[in-house]
Amino acid sequence: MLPLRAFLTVALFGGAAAMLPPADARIADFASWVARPARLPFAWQALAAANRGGEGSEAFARGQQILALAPSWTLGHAAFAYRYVLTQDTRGPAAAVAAQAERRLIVALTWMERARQQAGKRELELLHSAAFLAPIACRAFPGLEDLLPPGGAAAITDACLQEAERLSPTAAVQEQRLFHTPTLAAALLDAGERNAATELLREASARSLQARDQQLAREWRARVDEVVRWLQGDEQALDAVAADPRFEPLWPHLR
Amino acid sequence: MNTWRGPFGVSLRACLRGVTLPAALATVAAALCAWLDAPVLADGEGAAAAVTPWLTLPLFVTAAGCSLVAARTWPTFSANRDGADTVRRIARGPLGGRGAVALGSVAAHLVLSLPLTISLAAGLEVPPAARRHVEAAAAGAQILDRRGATLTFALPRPLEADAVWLRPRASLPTGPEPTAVQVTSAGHPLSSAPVEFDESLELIQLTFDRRQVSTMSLTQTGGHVPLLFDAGSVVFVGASELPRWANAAALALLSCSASIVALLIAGLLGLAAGWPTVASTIVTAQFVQWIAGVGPIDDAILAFARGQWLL
Repeated sequence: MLPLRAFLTVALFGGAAAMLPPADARIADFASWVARPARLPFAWQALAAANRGGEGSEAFARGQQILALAPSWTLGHAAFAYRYVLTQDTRGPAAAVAAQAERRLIVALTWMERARQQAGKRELELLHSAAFLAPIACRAFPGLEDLLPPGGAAAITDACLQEAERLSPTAAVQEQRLFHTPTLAAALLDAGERNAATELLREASARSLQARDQQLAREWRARVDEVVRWLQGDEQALDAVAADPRFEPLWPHLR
Repeated sequence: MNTWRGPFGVSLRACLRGVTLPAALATVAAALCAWLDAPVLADGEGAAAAVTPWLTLPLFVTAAGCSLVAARTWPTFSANRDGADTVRRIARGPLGGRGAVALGSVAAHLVLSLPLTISLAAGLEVPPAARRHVEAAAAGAQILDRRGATLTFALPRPLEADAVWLRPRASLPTGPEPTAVQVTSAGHPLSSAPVEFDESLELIQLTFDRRQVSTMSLTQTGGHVPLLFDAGSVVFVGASELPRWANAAALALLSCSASIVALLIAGLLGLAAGWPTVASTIVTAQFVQWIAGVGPIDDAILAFARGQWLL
Protein backbone atom coordinates (compact mmCIF):
# COMPACT_ATOMS: atom_id res chain seq x y z
CA MET A 1 0.00 0.00 0.00
CA LEU A 2 2.80 2.39 0.96
CA PRO A 3 4.67 2.20 -2.39
CA LEU A 4 1.43 3.00 -4.22
CA ARG A 5 0.76 5.99 -1.98
CA ALA A 6 4.35 7.18 -2.40
CA PHE A 7 4.11 6.66 -6.14
CA LEU A 8 0.87 8.68 -6.32
CA THR A 9 2.36 11.44 -4.18
CA VAL A 10 5.42 11.72 -6.39
CA ALA A 11 3.30 11.58 -9.55
CA LEU A 12 0.91 14.27 -8.34
CA PHE A 13 3.75 16.55 -7.21
CA GLY A 14 5.49 15.93 -10.53
CA GLY A 15 2.31 16.81 -12.40
CA ALA A 16 1.85 19.98 -10.37
CA ALA A 17 5.44 21.01 -11.02
CA ALA A 18 5.04 20.33 -14.73
CA MET A 19 1.93 22.52 -14.87
CA LEU A 20 3.74 25.52 -13.36
CA PRO A 21 4.86 28.26 -15.75
CA PRO A 22 8.48 27.99 -16.95
CA ALA A 23 11.08 28.68 -14.24
CA ASP A 24 12.61 31.78 -15.84
CA ALA A 25 9.19 33.42 -16.25
CA ARG A 26 8.35 32.55 -12.63
CA ILE A 27 11.61 34.01 -11.37
CA ALA A 28 11.15 37.16 -13.45
CA ASP A 29 7.56 37.54 -12.20
CA PHE A 30 8.65 37.02 -8.61
CA ALA A 31 11.55 39.48 -8.95
CA SER A 32 9.22 42.05 -10.51
CA TRP A 33 6.67 41.53 -7.71
CA VAL A 34 9.34 41.99 -5.04
CA ALA A 35 10.96 44.99 -6.69
CA ARG A 36 7.73 46.81 -7.58
CA PRO A 37 6.93 48.49 -4.22
CA ALA A 38 10.54 49.57 -3.76
CA ARG A 39 11.18 50.71 -7.32
CA LEU A 40 7.91 52.21 -8.54
CA PRO A 41 7.72 55.35 -6.33
CA PHE A 42 11.27 56.31 -7.29
CA ALA A 43 10.71 55.37 -10.91
CA TRP A 44 7.71 57.73 -11.07
CA GLN A 45 9.76 60.48 -9.43
CA ALA A 46 12.49 59.92 -12.01
CA LEU A 47 9.92 60.09 -14.80
CA ALA A 48 8.62 63.39 -13.43
CA ALA A 49 12.19 64.71 -13.36
CA ALA A 50 12.69 63.57 -16.95
CA ASN A 51 9.51 65.35 -18.02
CA ARG A 52 10.63 68.50 -16.21
CA GLY A 53 14.23 68.68 -17.28
CA GLY A 54 15.19 65.81 -19.58
CA GLU A 55 14.77 64.90 -23.21
CA GLY A 56 12.00 62.83 -24.77
CA SER A 57 14.26 59.79 -25.05
CA GLU A 58 14.99 59.92 -21.32
CA ALA A 59 11.29 60.06 -20.45
CA PHE A 60 10.65 57.12 -22.78
CA ALA A 61 13.47 55.10 -21.19
CA ARG A 62 12.05 55.85 -17.71
CA GLY A 63 8.61 54.86 -18.98
CA GLN A 64 9.99 51.54 -20.17
CA GLN A 65 11.46 50.90 -16.71
CA ILE A 66 8.09 51.61 -15.11
CA LEU A 67 6.25 49.35 -17.53
CA ALA A 68 8.81 46.58 -17.05
CA LEU A 69 7.38 46.46 -13.51
CA ALA A 70 3.77 46.63 -14.74
CA PRO A 71 3.93 44.83 -18.10
CA SER A 72 0.19 44.27 -18.49
CA TRP A 73 -0.69 47.97 -18.24
CA THR A 74 -1.54 48.42 -21.91
CA LEU A 75 -2.83 51.99 -21.67
CA GLY A 76 0.47 52.93 -20.05
CA HIS A 77 2.32 51.47 -23.03
CA ALA A 78 0.12 53.44 -25.39
CA ALA A 79 0.48 56.68 -23.44
CA PHE A 80 4.28 56.50 -23.26
CA ALA A 81 4.54 55.50 -26.92
CA TYR A 82 2.35 58.40 -28.09
CA ARG A 83 4.21 60.87 -25.93
CA TYR A 84 7.56 59.66 -27.24
CA VAL A 85 6.61 59.69 -30.91
CA LEU A 86 4.99 63.11 -30.71
CA THR A 87 7.97 64.67 -28.89
CA GLN A 88 8.84 67.99 -30.52
CA ASP A 89 12.35 68.16 -29.00
CA THR A 90 14.29 69.20 -32.03
CA ARG A 91 14.09 72.01 -34.51
CA GLY A 92 15.93 72.10 -37.79
CA PRO A 93 15.41 71.19 -41.42
CA ALA A 94 12.02 69.51 -41.90
CA ALA A 95 13.69 66.45 -43.47
CA ALA A 96 15.86 65.87 -40.39
CA VAL A 97 12.92 66.32 -38.02
CA ALA A 98 10.83 63.89 -40.10
CA ALA A 99 13.67 61.34 -40.13
CA GLN A 100 13.91 61.50 -36.33
CA ALA A 101 10.13 61.16 -36.06
CA GLU A 102 10.25 58.08 -38.30
CA ARG A 103 12.90 56.52 -36.06
CA ARG A 104 10.78 57.22 -32.98
CA LEU A 105 7.66 55.84 -34.67
CA ILE A 106 9.42 52.57 -35.55
CA VAL A 107 10.78 52.24 -32.00
CA ALA A 108 7.38 52.94 -30.44
CA LEU A 109 5.51 50.54 -32.73
CA THR A 110 8.08 47.81 -32.02
CA TRP A 111 7.68 48.44 -28.31
CA MET A 112 3.89 48.20 -28.50
CA GLU A 113 4.18 45.03 -30.57
CA ARG A 114 6.44 43.56 -27.89
CA ALA A 115 3.97 44.57 -25.18
CA ARG A 116 1.28 42.42 -26.82
CA GLN A 117 2.87 39.32 -25.28
CA GLN A 118 1.89 40.55 -21.80
CA ALA A 119 -1.33 42.34 -22.70
CA GLY A 120 -3.66 39.37 -22.21
CA LYS A 121 -7.29 40.39 -22.69
CA ARG A 122 -6.25 43.96 -23.42
CA GLU A 123 -4.32 43.10 -26.56
CA LEU A 124 -7.08 44.59 -28.67
CA GLU A 125 -6.78 47.91 -26.82
CA LEU A 126 -3.07 47.95 -27.61
CA LEU A 127 -3.64 47.21 -31.29
CA HIS A 128 -6.18 50.00 -31.58
CA SER A 129 -3.75 52.40 -29.93
CA ALA A 130 -0.98 51.34 -32.31
CA ALA A 131 -3.35 51.62 -35.29
CA PHE A 132 -3.80 55.37 -34.97
CA LEU A 133 -0.28 56.32 -33.87
CA ALA A 134 1.18 56.53 -37.38
CA PRO A 135 -1.51 58.82 -38.90
CA ILE A 136 -1.34 61.16 -35.90
CA ALA A 137 2.47 61.29 -36.17
CA CYS A 138 2.21 62.02 -39.90
CA ARG A 139 -0.06 64.97 -39.19
CA ALA A 140 2.39 66.28 -36.56
CA PHE A 141 5.54 65.91 -38.68
CA PRO A 142 5.32 67.06 -42.31
CA GLY A 143 7.38 64.79 -44.55
CA LEU A 144 7.08 61.72 -42.31
CA GLU A 145 4.47 60.09 -44.55
CA ASP A 146 6.97 60.07 -47.45
CA LEU A 147 9.52 58.15 -45.36
CA LEU A 148 7.13 55.32 -44.50
CA PRO A 149 6.84 52.15 -46.64
CA PRO A 150 4.32 52.14 -49.55
CA GLY A 151 0.84 52.71 -48.24
CA GLY A 152 2.22 54.95 -45.49
CA ALA A 153 0.43 55.49 -42.22
CA ALA A 154 -2.84 54.13 -43.63
CA ALA A 155 -1.21 50.77 -44.35
CA ILE A 156 0.17 50.61 -40.79
CA THR A 157 -3.30 51.40 -39.43
CA ASP A 158 -4.86 48.75 -41.67
CA ALA A 159 -2.30 46.14 -40.60
CA CYS A 160 -3.09 46.78 -36.93
CA LEU A 161 -6.86 46.73 -37.54
CA GLN A 162 -6.48 43.53 -39.57
CA GLU A 163 -4.68 41.90 -36.66
CA ALA A 164 -7.37 43.20 -34.29
CA GLU A 165 -10.01 41.71 -36.58
CA ARG A 166 -8.19 38.38 -36.61
CA LEU A 167 -8.03 38.30 -32.82
CA SER A 168 -11.57 39.47 -32.30
CA PRO A 169 -13.78 39.10 -35.38
CA THR A 170 -16.62 41.15 -33.94
CA ALA A 171 -18.81 43.40 -36.05
CA ALA A 172 -17.44 46.54 -34.36
CA VAL A 173 -13.82 45.71 -35.19
CA GLN A 174 -14.67 44.62 -38.74
CA GLU A 175 -16.60 47.82 -39.40
CA GLN A 176 -13.83 49.96 -37.98
CA ARG A 177 -11.45 48.46 -40.53
CA LEU A 178 -14.06 48.62 -43.28
CA PHE A 179 -14.68 52.36 -42.87
CA HIS A 180 -10.94 52.99 -42.80
CA THR A 181 -10.69 51.67 -46.39
CA PRO A 182 -10.94 55.06 -48.20
CA THR A 183 -7.93 56.32 -46.23
CA LEU A 184 -5.91 53.24 -47.15
CA ALA A 185 -7.02 53.47 -50.79
CA ALA A 186 -5.89 57.13 -50.88
CA ALA A 187 -2.48 56.08 -49.54
CA LEU A 188 -2.21 53.42 -52.26
CA LEU A 189 -3.13 56.02 -54.88
CA ASP A 190 -0.44 58.29 -53.43
CA ALA A 191 2.04 55.47 -54.01
CA GLY A 192 0.81 55.03 -57.61
CA GLU A 193 -0.94 51.72 -56.88
CA ARG A 194 -4.16 52.48 -58.77
CA ASN A 195 -5.13 48.85 -59.42
CA ALA A 196 -4.53 47.82 -55.82
CA ALA A 197 -6.63 50.77 -54.61
CA THR A 198 -9.46 49.85 -56.98
CA GLU A 199 -9.37 46.23 -55.87
CA LEU A 200 -9.35 47.25 -52.20
CA LEU A 201 -12.39 49.50 -52.63
CA ARG A 202 -14.23 46.81 -54.56
CA GLU A 203 -13.59 44.32 -51.78
CA ALA A 204 -14.70 46.88 -49.19
CA SER A 205 -17.91 47.41 -51.11
CA ALA A 206 -18.60 43.67 -51.00
CA ARG A 207 -17.76 43.45 -47.29
CA SER A 208 -20.11 46.30 -46.46
CA LEU A 209 -23.01 43.91 -47.19
CA GLN A 210 -22.28 42.37 -43.77
CA ALA A 211 -22.39 45.65 -41.83
CA ARG A 212 -24.96 45.90 -39.04
CA ASP A 213 -26.46 49.25 -40.06
CA GLN A 214 -27.53 48.42 -43.62
CA GLN A 215 -28.95 51.85 -44.35
CA LEU A 216 -25.59 53.45 -43.52
CA ALA A 217 -23.74 50.69 -45.38
CA ARG A 218 -25.92 51.06 -48.50
CA GLU A 219 -25.20 54.78 -48.74
CA TRP A 220 -21.48 54.27 -48.10
CA ARG A 221 -21.36 51.41 -50.65
CA ALA A 222 -22.91 53.64 -53.30
CA ARG A 223 -20.14 56.20 -52.78
CA VAL A 224 -17.43 53.50 -52.91
CA ASP A 225 -18.90 52.09 -56.13
CA GLU A 226 -18.87 55.59 -57.65
CA VAL A 227 -15.18 55.94 -56.78
CA VAL A 228 -14.42 52.48 -58.22
CA ARG A 229 -16.14 53.39 -61.49
CA TRP A 230 -14.24 56.67 -61.61
CA LEU A 231 -10.93 54.90 -61.07
CA GLN A 232 -11.82 52.48 -63.87
CA GLY A 233 -12.19 55.37 -66.31
CA ASP A 234 -15.85 56.29 -66.02
CA GLU A 235 -15.20 59.92 -65.05
CA GLN A 236 -18.72 61.08 -64.23
CA ALA A 237 -19.33 63.83 -61.63
CA LEU A 238 -18.69 62.72 -58.06
CA ASP A 239 -20.75 65.32 -56.21
CA ALA A 240 -21.92 62.95 -53.46
CA VAL A 241 -18.38 61.69 -52.80
CA ALA A 242 -17.01 65.23 -52.83
CA ALA A 243 -19.57 66.24 -50.20
CA ASP A 244 -18.92 63.26 -47.92
CA PRO A 245 -16.10 63.92 -45.37
CA ARG A 246 -15.55 60.15 -44.92
CA PHE A 247 -14.01 60.20 -48.40
CA GLU A 248 -11.89 63.30 -47.87
CA PRO A 249 -8.53 61.43 -48.23
CA LEU A 250 -9.64 60.41 -51.74
CA TRP A 251 -10.67 63.86 -52.93
CA PRO A 252 -7.22 64.89 -54.32
CA HIS A 253 -7.22 61.75 -56.51
CA LEU A 254 -10.68 62.27 -57.97
CA ARG A 255 -10.09 65.57 -59.79
CA MET B 1 50.03 61.86 17.37
CA ASN B 2 51.03 60.33 14.03
CA THR B 3 48.19 61.02 11.56
CA TRP B 4 48.23 57.50 10.18
CA ARG B 5 48.09 55.93 13.65
CA GLY B 6 45.66 58.52 15.05
CA PRO B 7 41.86 58.71 14.71
CA PHE B 8 42.08 59.79 11.06
CA GLY B 9 44.22 56.83 10.06
CA VAL B 10 42.33 54.34 12.21
CA SER B 11 39.03 55.45 10.72
CA LEU B 12 40.37 55.49 7.15
CA ARG B 13 41.82 51.98 7.43
CA ALA B 14 38.77 50.58 9.17
CA CYS B 15 36.47 52.03 6.51
CA LEU B 16 38.58 50.69 3.64
CA ARG B 17 38.76 47.30 5.30
CA GLY B 18 35.07 47.12 6.16
CA VAL B 19 33.44 48.75 3.13
CA THR B 20 35.48 47.61 0.14
CA LEU B 21 33.74 44.25 -0.10
CA PRO B 22 30.15 45.56 0.36
CA ALA B 23 30.89 48.33 -2.17
CA ALA B 24 32.22 45.79 -4.65
CA LEU B 25 29.18 43.55 -4.14
CA ALA B 26 26.85 46.53 -4.53
CA THR B 27 28.65 47.44 -7.76
CA VAL B 28 28.19 43.95 -9.13
CA ALA B 29 24.51 43.96 -8.07
CA ALA B 30 24.03 47.40 -9.65
CA ALA B 31 25.66 46.29 -12.90
CA LEU B 32 23.42 43.21 -12.96
CA CYS B 33 20.29 45.23 -12.22
CA ALA B 34 21.23 47.83 -14.84
CA TRP B 35 21.56 45.03 -17.37
CA LEU B 36 18.20 43.50 -16.39
CA ASP B 37 16.44 46.86 -16.10
CA ALA B 38 17.89 48.42 -19.26
CA PRO B 39 15.18 49.93 -21.47
CA VAL B 40 14.81 47.44 -24.32
CA LEU B 41 14.41 50.15 -26.92
CA ALA B 42 16.63 52.90 -25.55
CA ASP B 43 17.09 55.44 -28.27
CA GLY B 44 19.21 58.57 -28.09
CA GLU B 45 21.76 59.82 -25.61
CA GLY B 46 19.05 61.00 -23.22
CA ALA B 47 18.09 57.39 -22.52
CA ALA B 48 21.41 56.88 -20.70
CA ALA B 49 20.07 59.02 -17.86
CA ALA B 50 17.75 56.14 -16.93
CA VAL B 51 20.70 54.38 -15.25
CA THR B 52 20.65 56.71 -12.23
CA PRO B 53 19.19 54.13 -9.76
CA TRP B 54 22.07 51.77 -10.48
CA LEU B 55 24.63 54.54 -10.30
CA THR B 56 23.22 55.58 -6.94
CA LEU B 57 23.14 52.13 -5.30
CA PRO B 58 26.89 51.41 -4.94
CA LEU B 59 27.67 55.03 -4.07
CA PHE B 60 24.99 54.96 -1.37
CA VAL B 61 26.34 51.69 0.04
CA THR B 62 29.86 53.17 0.09
CA ALA B 63 28.75 56.40 1.77
CA ALA B 64 26.53 54.73 4.36
CA GLY B 65 29.10 51.96 4.98
CA CYS B 66 31.99 54.37 5.58
CA SER B 67 29.94 56.53 7.94
CA LEU B 68 28.72 53.51 9.92
CA VAL B 69 32.14 51.87 10.16
CA ALA B 70 33.78 55.10 11.29
CA ALA B 71 31.13 55.82 13.90
CA ARG B 72 31.32 52.25 15.14
CA THR B 73 35.12 52.18 15.25
CA TRP B 74 35.61 55.26 17.41
CA PRO B 75 34.26 54.78 20.96
CA THR B 76 33.45 58.45 21.61
CA PHE B 77 31.20 58.75 18.56
CA SER B 78 28.21 57.56 20.58
CA ALA B 79 27.41 57.57 24.29
CA ASN B 80 28.05 54.72 26.75
CA ARG B 81 30.59 52.84 24.67
CA ASP B 82 33.35 50.66 26.12
CA GLY B 83 36.77 52.25 25.85
CA ALA B 84 35.44 55.80 25.57
CA ASP B 85 37.26 56.98 28.71
CA THR B 86 40.58 55.61 27.48
CA VAL B 87 40.12 57.31 24.12
CA ARG B 88 39.27 60.62 25.79
CA ARG B 89 42.57 60.47 27.66
CA ILE B 90 44.47 59.99 24.39
CA ALA B 91 42.48 62.36 22.14
CA ARG B 92 42.26 65.43 24.30
CA GLY B 93 40.81 67.94 21.82
CA PRO B 94 37.32 69.40 22.22
CA LEU B 95 35.91 66.89 19.72
CA GLY B 96 37.59 63.88 21.28
CA GLY B 97 38.92 62.76 17.90
CA ARG B 98 35.50 62.74 16.28
CA GLY B 99 36.44 65.38 13.70
CA ALA B 100 39.46 63.38 12.60
CA VAL B 101 37.40 60.19 12.52
CA ALA B 102 34.80 61.86 10.33
CA LEU B 103 37.54 63.15 8.03
CA GLY B 104 39.03 59.66 7.81
CA SER B 105 35.64 58.28 6.89
CA VAL B 106 35.11 60.93 4.22
CA ALA B 107 38.61 60.25 2.85
CA ALA B 108 37.85 56.51 2.65
CA HIS B 109 34.55 57.32 0.96
CA LEU B 110 36.41 59.38 -1.63
CA VAL B 111 39.09 56.71 -2.15
CA LEU B 112 36.42 54.06 -2.77
CA SER B 113 33.90 56.11 -4.71
CA LEU B 114 36.37 57.71 -7.13
CA PRO B 115 37.31 54.53 -9.08
CA LEU B 116 33.82 53.21 -8.58
CA THR B 117 32.16 56.26 -10.17
CA ILE B 118 34.60 56.36 -13.06
CA SER B 119 34.21 52.66 -13.86
CA LEU B 120 30.42 52.61 -13.37
CA ALA B 121 30.04 55.63 -15.65
CA ALA B 122 31.90 53.79 -18.39
CA GLY B 123 30.07 50.52 -17.76
CA LEU B 124 26.61 52.07 -17.62
CA GLU B 125 27.20 54.09 -20.78
CA VAL B 126 26.94 57.55 -19.32
CA PRO B 127 27.61 59.98 -22.23
CA PRO B 128 31.38 59.98 -22.87
CA ALA B 129 31.63 63.76 -22.94
CA ALA B 130 30.05 66.26 -20.58
CA ARG B 131 28.88 69.73 -21.53
CA ARG B 132 28.19 72.78 -19.43
CA HIS B 133 24.47 73.52 -18.98
CA VAL B 134 23.96 77.05 -17.75
CA GLU B 135 20.57 78.46 -16.82
CA ALA B 136 19.77 81.95 -18.05
CA ALA B 137 17.66 84.14 -15.77
CA ALA B 138 15.07 86.64 -16.96
CA ALA B 139 15.43 90.23 -15.90
CA GLY B 140 12.01 91.49 -14.81
CA ALA B 141 8.86 89.96 -16.27
CA GLN B 142 8.89 86.30 -17.31
CA ILE B 143 5.69 86.12 -19.32
CA LEU B 144 5.14 86.38 -23.06
CA ASP B 145 1.44 87.08 -23.51
CA ARG B 146 1.08 89.44 -26.45
CA ARG B 147 2.52 90.02 -29.89
CA GLY B 148 5.70 92.11 -29.70
CA ALA B 149 6.40 91.31 -26.02
CA THR B 150 10.10 90.72 -25.34
CA LEU B 151 11.93 88.99 -22.52
CA THR B 152 15.65 89.41 -21.92
CA PHE B 153 17.71 86.70 -20.27
CA ALA B 154 21.25 86.95 -18.93
CA LEU B 155 23.77 84.22 -18.16
CA PRO B 156 25.72 84.42 -14.91
CA ARG B 157 28.90 84.48 -17.00
CA PRO B 158 29.55 84.49 -20.78
CA LEU B 159 29.51 81.01 -22.29
CA GLU B 160 30.81 79.55 -25.54
CA ALA B 161 27.56 77.79 -26.52
CA ASP B 162 26.11 75.99 -29.52
CA ALA B 163 22.61 75.11 -28.29
CA VAL B 164 19.82 76.43 -26.14
CA TRP B 165 16.98 74.48 -24.54
CA LEU B 166 13.67 76.29 -24.08
CA ARG B 167 10.99 74.76 -21.90
CA PRO B 168 8.35 77.33 -20.88
CA ARG B 169 5.12 76.68 -19.05
CA ALA B 170 2.06 77.36 -21.16
CA SER B 171 -1.10 78.95 -19.82
CA LEU B 172 -4.61 78.52 -21.20
CA PRO B 173 -4.67 79.62 -24.85
CA THR B 174 -6.65 82.68 -25.82
CA GLY B 175 -6.98 81.60 -29.45
CA PRO B 176 -6.23 78.78 -31.88
CA GLU B 177 -2.62 79.57 -32.89
CA PRO B 178 0.50 78.30 -31.09
CA THR B 179 2.76 81.07 -29.86
CA ALA B 180 5.68 81.85 -32.18
CA VAL B 181 8.83 83.21 -30.57
CA GLN B 182 11.88 84.74 -32.24
CA VAL B 183 15.08 83.85 -30.37
CA THR B 184 18.03 86.25 -30.67
CA SER B 185 21.35 86.80 -28.95
CA ALA B 186 23.17 90.12 -29.32
CA GLY B 187 20.91 90.94 -32.25
CA HIS B 188 21.61 87.68 -34.13
CA PRO B 189 18.74 85.23 -34.57
CA LEU B 190 19.53 81.78 -33.12
CA SER B 191 17.01 80.02 -35.38
CA SER B 192 16.09 80.58 -39.01
CA ALA B 193 12.38 80.79 -38.17
CA PRO B 194 10.44 81.60 -35.01
CA VAL B 195 9.89 78.57 -32.78
CA GLU B 196 6.34 77.60 -31.83
CA PHE B 197 4.99 76.51 -28.47
CA ASP B 198 1.53 75.14 -27.76
CA GLU B 199 2.05 72.84 -24.76
CA SER B 200 3.32 73.31 -21.24
CA LEU B 201 6.90 72.11 -20.61
CA GLU B 202 7.38 71.31 -24.28
CA LEU B 203 11.14 71.14 -24.86
CA ILE B 204 12.58 72.93 -27.86
CA GLN B 205 16.27 72.34 -28.52
CA LEU B 206 17.78 74.95 -30.79
CA THR B 207 21.24 74.37 -32.18
CA PHE B 208 23.33 77.12 -33.73
CA ASP B 209 26.90 77.84 -34.72
CA ARG B 210 29.27 78.08 -31.77
CA ARG B 211 29.23 81.60 -30.36
CA GLN B 212 29.93 83.54 -27.18
CA VAL B 213 26.62 84.14 -25.42
CA SER B 214 25.93 86.37 -22.46
CA THR B 215 22.36 87.55 -23.07
CA MET B 216 19.37 86.34 -25.06
CA SER B 217 16.04 87.83 -26.07
CA LEU B 218 12.72 86.16 -26.78
CA THR B 219 10.18 88.14 -28.79
CA GLN B 220 6.65 86.93 -29.39
CA THR B 221 5.84 87.27 -33.09
CA GLY B 222 2.35 85.78 -32.96
CA GLY B 223 0.08 83.18 -31.43
CA HIS B 224 -2.35 82.86 -28.56
CA VAL B 225 -0.66 80.73 -25.87
CA PRO B 226 0.73 82.79 -22.94
CA LEU B 227 4.17 81.46 -21.98
CA LEU B 228 5.87 81.64 -18.60
CA PHE B 229 9.67 81.40 -18.64
CA ASP B 230 10.45 80.73 -14.97
CA ALA B 231 13.71 79.44 -13.46
CA GLY B 232 15.25 76.62 -15.48
CA SER B 233 13.18 77.21 -18.61
CA VAL B 234 16.10 78.65 -20.62
CA VAL B 235 19.33 76.63 -20.51
CA PHE B 236 22.37 77.20 -22.73
CA VAL B 237 24.53 74.21 -23.62
CA GLY B 238 28.28 74.79 -23.77
CA ALA B 239 30.07 73.95 -27.00
CA SER B 240 33.15 72.38 -25.39
CA GLU B 241 33.16 68.72 -24.53
CA LEU B 242 34.68 67.84 -21.18
CA PRO B 243 35.94 64.37 -20.21
CA ARG B 244 33.59 61.97 -18.43
CA TRP B 245 36.26 60.84 -15.97
CA ALA B 246 36.70 64.40 -14.70
CA ASN B 247 32.95 64.75 -14.29
CA ALA B 248 32.90 61.41 -12.44
CA ALA B 249 35.66 62.67 -10.13
CA ALA B 250 33.60 65.80 -9.48
CA LEU B 251 30.61 63.62 -8.61
CA ALA B 252 32.70 61.51 -6.21
CA LEU B 253 33.95 64.69 -4.55
CA LEU B 254 30.45 66.12 -4.32
CA SER B 255 29.12 62.87 -2.88
CA CYS B 256 31.40 63.37 0.13
CA SER B 257 29.09 66.19 1.20
CA ALA B 258 26.40 63.62 1.99
CA SER B 259 28.78 61.80 4.36
CA ILE B 260 29.87 65.04 6.00
CA VAL B 261 26.25 65.97 6.71
CA ALA B 262 25.40 62.49 8.03
CA LEU B 263 28.47 62.34 10.30
CA LEU B 264 27.88 65.87 11.57
CA ILE B 265 24.33 65.03 12.61
CA ALA B 266 25.40 61.66 14.03
CA GLY B 267 28.32 63.23 15.90
CA LEU B 268 26.06 65.78 17.58
CA LEU B 269 23.47 63.15 18.41
CA GLY B 270 26.17 60.82 19.73
CA LEU B 271 26.94 63.24 22.57
CA ALA B 272 23.82 61.95 24.28
CA ALA B 273 22.57 58.94 22.31
CA GLY B 274 23.81 55.37 22.15
CA TRP B 275 25.08 53.41 19.16
CA PRO B 276 21.71 52.11 17.85
CA THR B 277 20.32 55.65 17.63
CA VAL B 278 23.48 56.99 16.02
CA ALA B 279 23.55 54.13 13.50
CA SER B 280 19.88 54.66 12.58
CA THR B 281 20.52 58.38 12.20
CA ILE B 282 23.45 57.79 9.86
CA VAL B 283 21.47 55.42 7.64
CA THR B 284 18.47 57.76 7.59
CA ALA B 285 20.56 60.84 6.86
CA GLN B 286 22.31 59.05 4.00
CA PHE B 287 19.04 57.62 2.68
CA VAL B 288 17.22 60.93 2.51
CA GLN B 289 20.14 62.51 0.70
CA TRP B 290 20.88 59.71 -1.77
CA ILE B 291 17.50 58.19 -2.39
CA ALA B 292 14.85 60.69 -1.29
CA GLY B 293 16.48 63.62 -3.09
CA VAL B 294 17.19 65.97 -0.18
CA GLY B 295 20.32 68.02 -0.86
CA PRO B 296 22.41 68.31 -3.99
CA ILE B 297 23.54 64.72 -4.58
CA ASP B 298 20.42 63.35 -6.27
CA ASP B 299 20.37 66.21 -8.78
CA ALA B 300 24.12 65.84 -9.30
CA ILE B 301 23.77 62.14 -10.20
CA LEU B 302 20.98 62.94 -12.63
CA ALA B 303 23.00 65.73 -14.24
CA PHE B 304 26.03 63.43 -14.46
CA ALA B 305 24.02 60.69 -16.12
CA ARG B 306 22.63 63.24 -18.60
CA GLY B 307 26.17 64.29 -19.54
CA GLN B 308 25.96 67.70 -17.88
CA TRP B 309 29.14 69.16 -16.42
CA LEU B 310 28.88 69.40 -12.63
CA LEU B 311 31.34 72.18 -11.78
